[in-house]
Amino acid sequence: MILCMDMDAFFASVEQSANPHLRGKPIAVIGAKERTVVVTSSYEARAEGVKTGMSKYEALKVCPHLTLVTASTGKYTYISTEINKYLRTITPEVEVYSIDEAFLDISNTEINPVDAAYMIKSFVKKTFNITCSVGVGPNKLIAKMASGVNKPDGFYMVEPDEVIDFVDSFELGDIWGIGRRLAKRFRELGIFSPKDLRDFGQERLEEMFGIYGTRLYKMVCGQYAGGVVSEEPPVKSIGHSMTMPVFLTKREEALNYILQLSEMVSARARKNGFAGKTVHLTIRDTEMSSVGKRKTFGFFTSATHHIYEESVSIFDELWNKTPIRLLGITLGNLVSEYVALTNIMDDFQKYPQLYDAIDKINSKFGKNAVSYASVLNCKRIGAKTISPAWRPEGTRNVEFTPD
Amino acid sequence: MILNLHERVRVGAVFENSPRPVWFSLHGEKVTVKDICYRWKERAGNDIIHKYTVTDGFNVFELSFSSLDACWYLEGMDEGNGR
Repeated sequence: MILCMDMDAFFASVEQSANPHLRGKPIAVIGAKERTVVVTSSYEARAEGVKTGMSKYEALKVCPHLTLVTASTGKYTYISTEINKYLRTITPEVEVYSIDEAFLDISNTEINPVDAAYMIKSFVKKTFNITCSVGVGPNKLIAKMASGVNKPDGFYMVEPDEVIDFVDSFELGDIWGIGRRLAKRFRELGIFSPKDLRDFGQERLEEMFGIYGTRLYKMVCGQYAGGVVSEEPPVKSIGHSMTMPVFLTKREEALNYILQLSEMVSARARKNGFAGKTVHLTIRDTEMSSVGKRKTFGFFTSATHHIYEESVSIFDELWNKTPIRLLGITLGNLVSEYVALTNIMDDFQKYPQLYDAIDKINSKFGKNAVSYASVLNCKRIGAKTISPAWRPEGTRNVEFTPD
Repeated sequence: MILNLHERVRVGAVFENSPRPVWFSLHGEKVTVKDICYRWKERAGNDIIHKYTVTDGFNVFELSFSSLDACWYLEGMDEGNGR
């Protein structure tokens, strides 16, 4: 059987547990002090209409007595890491799905799923004074959907012979992986429920959606092909993006952030032993429309100065002088176990020694202990928000910079 | 935390598996830790920072202990009366 552990309003629960003044009150965790959105909110705030993704102004409008708490990323990543260490004492077959969700395959253990679920719930409550919900099912799809049934602090188990009835108890748009947009498209075709979709037939779904149609049909039959992936899949790219604390209107300001992002990408490539052959730059404007472009190096590189030079050249091609809300840089076409910091075209040939010195200093004294002077002109320095791709270890583990 | 401080403070602590703050000084006054509400660790380079939220029964304080330089800091304080 598969278990899905899903923390209940994770960040907000941690903040309420850490600060007795916040317990029982509507609170919203926001990304940073400057212009930002609600990352998550407590159940008390949700009851008053506060939703994830609202701007802090919108949230305060629907709930004027809402307390805003700035996210404490170090606290959440520590707790997530400790919980995942505990999960691995139950079974090595653990897939960290996000900072607050994990799948466990206990098929090869002698632990009963009910016992495993209560062991996890007890550990989380006793160690961190927060709650989680656990769903159990014959596959990841059913376990994930079961985890949401009795939230918060819930438990729900679906036996293999109850799967179809369980799936049929959901609306189409609430099935994990289908979503509201696709459900709307189905509604237009007169398909309203999982049963309607089964009756629509696998063949017609395959005609419409190709291989995804097969997957959709199996999902409404309560089947799911993907198992628990305990090994971190190979990294295809390394990227960082940053929402600006204030809109950028000058090229010089943008270049400071491009340099910072280039160094963040390069530092992670250097640390994890990767070099890439392409760089992709994304610019998002104040209307939330994005443009991006990829360029290919004539060589593999992990170096900040190469990533920066190419990113600036893309930026100059793409930027139409509209205020910038977000910048992102991704190093792609990676090769592993290879770090390239210079090539024969570089005027300065001591880059490897320079990067080595930077990495040694930052490893000893902490991230950004030494960096480029221009980066000091940035109002925001370092990673502040937890990406969905964050993992407790490996290349996807990003060290956060406290405020 | 309502007030972000990051002030170096004197702390009386018991060192067991990890340091447990018992009292700290705030503006010359000795504040007794009634309860440790939360504890976690953060890494800063080679340093492991032990972090705590504690209460004296009225206010909530965030304390940190740097294991590398063996110093305590009062990181913040919440008097529970504001946003």
